[in-house]
Amino acid sequence: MHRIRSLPIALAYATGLILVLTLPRHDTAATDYPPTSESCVECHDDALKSLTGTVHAIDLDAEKPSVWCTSCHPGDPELHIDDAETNPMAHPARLDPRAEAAICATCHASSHQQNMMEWNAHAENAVNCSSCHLVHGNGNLRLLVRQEPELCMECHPSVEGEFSRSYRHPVLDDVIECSECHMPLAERTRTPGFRGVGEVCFQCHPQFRGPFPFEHQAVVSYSTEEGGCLNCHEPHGSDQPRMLKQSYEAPHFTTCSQCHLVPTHQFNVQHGSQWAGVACNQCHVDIHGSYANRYLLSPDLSLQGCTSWGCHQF
Amino acid sequence: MRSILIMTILAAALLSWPGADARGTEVDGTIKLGGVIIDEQAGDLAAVQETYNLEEGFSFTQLRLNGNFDPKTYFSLDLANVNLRNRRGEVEFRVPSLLRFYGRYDQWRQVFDPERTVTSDRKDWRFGAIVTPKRWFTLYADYGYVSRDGDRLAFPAGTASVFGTRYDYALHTFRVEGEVHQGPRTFALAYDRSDYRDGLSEVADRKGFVASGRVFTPCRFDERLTHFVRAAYGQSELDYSGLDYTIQNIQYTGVFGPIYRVQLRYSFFANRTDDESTELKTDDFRHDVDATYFHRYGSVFAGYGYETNDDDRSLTSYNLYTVGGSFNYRQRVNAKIEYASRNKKDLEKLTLLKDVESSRFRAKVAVQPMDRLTVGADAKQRRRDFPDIGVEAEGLSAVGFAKYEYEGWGSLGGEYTYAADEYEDLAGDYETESHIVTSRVVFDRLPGVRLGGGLTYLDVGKDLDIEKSIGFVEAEYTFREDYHLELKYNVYNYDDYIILDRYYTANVVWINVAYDFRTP
Repeated sequence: MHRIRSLPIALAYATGLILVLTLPRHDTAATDYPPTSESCVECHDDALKSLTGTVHAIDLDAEKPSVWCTSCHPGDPELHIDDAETNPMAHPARLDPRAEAAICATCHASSHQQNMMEWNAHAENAVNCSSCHLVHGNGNLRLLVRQEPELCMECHPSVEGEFSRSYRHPVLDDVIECSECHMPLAERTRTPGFRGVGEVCFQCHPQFRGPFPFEHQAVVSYSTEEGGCLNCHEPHGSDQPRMLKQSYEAPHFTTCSQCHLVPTHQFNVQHGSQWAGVACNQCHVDIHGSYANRYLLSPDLSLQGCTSWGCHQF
Repeated sequence: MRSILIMTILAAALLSWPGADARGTEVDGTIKLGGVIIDEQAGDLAAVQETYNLEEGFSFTQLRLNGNFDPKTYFSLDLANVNLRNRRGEVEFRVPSLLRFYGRYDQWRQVFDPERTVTSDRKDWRFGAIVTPKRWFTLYADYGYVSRDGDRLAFPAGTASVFGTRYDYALHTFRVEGEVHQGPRTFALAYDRSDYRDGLSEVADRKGFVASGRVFTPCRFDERLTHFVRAAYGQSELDYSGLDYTIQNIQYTGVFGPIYRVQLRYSFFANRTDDESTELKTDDFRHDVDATYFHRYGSVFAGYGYETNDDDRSLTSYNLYTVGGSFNYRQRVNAKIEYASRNKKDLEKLTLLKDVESSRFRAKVAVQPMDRLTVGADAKQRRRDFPDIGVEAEGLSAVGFAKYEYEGWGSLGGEYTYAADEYEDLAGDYETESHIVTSRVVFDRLPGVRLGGGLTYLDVGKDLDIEKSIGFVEAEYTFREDYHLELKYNVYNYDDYIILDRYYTANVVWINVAYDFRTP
């Protein structure tokens, strides 16, 4: 039972330490200058035009432009001008994922970018920045090669089938984008109060976030890899109503019985035929968390006397 | 339509940006108008989600505008699928290296009952701006508003719920972040605020905030080592009862490349959740290490993680293992194999599920034997065992896919997915097995004509017995350069052979005429 007595203090110390240890020894910013871009466009004027209106547009007139050709295409411009074939400038799209991410990170310092430089599923599978983002000649938002979800499904073909099931999130209807759910998981800075996998779901389903005075343990399984909402729901698509993973039908209600095997509950013989096979949430109404009862029971049961005396007097 | 009006006014306001130089303005766009014809035969109008928001009759399908006032400013507006029930709009304005403003609106109707009378509407607004006043400083601001109101269907039908028979809630979120960066070094601070209002139950009203920071930087003494530190402190409080939970966490990741082609990574995460309602202080600590060796033809990796979860009542520990490798050959062959397991040990046997053993195995390969053809397969197996409570869950899915592209002619592609899931506990079991086929063909050999077609077919068996299919053919004809005539025919079919009257068939035809325009 170990405890960190004051996490904020530890946090402040750690951050300060890292800052001190990591102060730059020298300026590592690129030292290129505008004339290089001017030289580039003598041969590559189409490349310059293709950047018009995008964040990478090069301003040849600026005294100190924010981006220029060699920001993304490092190499030795002078040697390249002398003999382009022997001394090619780097082409980021042809680099391995981490090398390209390092170039892009010169300006794009977001968490998304930094994740590409760490252990990352996309980087691991030779998917580099240019696999999804096209810099030249692209008017799409976020410079995506194609809009979602088509872009994602090129490499994840089985997902299209999952979104065709009876109950599914409206991704193929262009209402939700893949990145709305998946990117925040990779970028925890976007969900800094990390409270389990469900944090992503609560962005659109805030009514289930709590805090509830009486939480359902399955929803708040903070540390479980596939816990929280995913204990019961299939996020892409399911053949069960409410996108449940398992059946929620009498007599077994396997969605609930996967965790709750309550001897006196199965088949409800104590209630006689009147209550035989009733759904669990007939009584445990607030399955995502309750404001009224620690067993997530309906306050109506109390009015009926079920919980005031006899069998269910808790 | 108020939302679309707001988006349009916003767009007009941005168009009058003072930096815009009328002489250099270039605008292009598309306007698409048309109609929808629907023929339905149904016992359950909610059976196929793809159709229940279609509106028969005239349709304002799309208005898209892209504009460059000069090389330094860019504007776009995209309004689509505007009808009585749904609409979507996106607006963006950019002054590269200085400002990006974006706005988005989505409205979507959800249908619950077979007659389509029990419905609810979601409205999702998002606005934000990214300002870069200095090359080394970026400021982000983002505001979101999500609301849902309408009817709610009890589940299963006839059961009670204190959530009631209606939805009426709204969530406001706001985020502001400042980021300082110099080369590969970044330091950022952020503040998030949220406010949830439930029109049906004031006990659910809550507000919260999270303050966070992150540092990303190479080590001062050895740039082969990169540090990444994230930390956050936040609180979420119920207005009515004053109950709250607070979260404090810190994460450190160090990535070290000691020698060429080798990467070592260590990650530490500590999180404390102090939940007044459960009276639990939950401490979660994780340590992960992994090593990867990169080769020009692929990589191999292995990792280990250890985690403890301590919540006063129980102490659990987790051991995680992962091992795998990938193989890439000249963009022709891509293959990956991975095995991961996670075992939970409930040291005091006090949690509901007690010990848990879970594992995942995945193998996939994609081969491009020639430039135009890609074939591949992907298989996944997942297993979770709960030995103390007698529960087992196992899932298997296998996918085979192929795509053939011939430039100037079109493409042909298809996937087949087999999926089987089995859940078994001491009370009962549940099994499903499904076969899913998706295919698509595109033919664009004829000048000015584009033809396409495809099929999605699902067959779900074992404890369920469902068949669903969606077939489509489409054609686009371009005439007088800027005009397009689009025709699309979809046929939807759904049959549940177990639930009475849950069947649906629909024939839907879309006809659209689009006009592309641009400034001379």
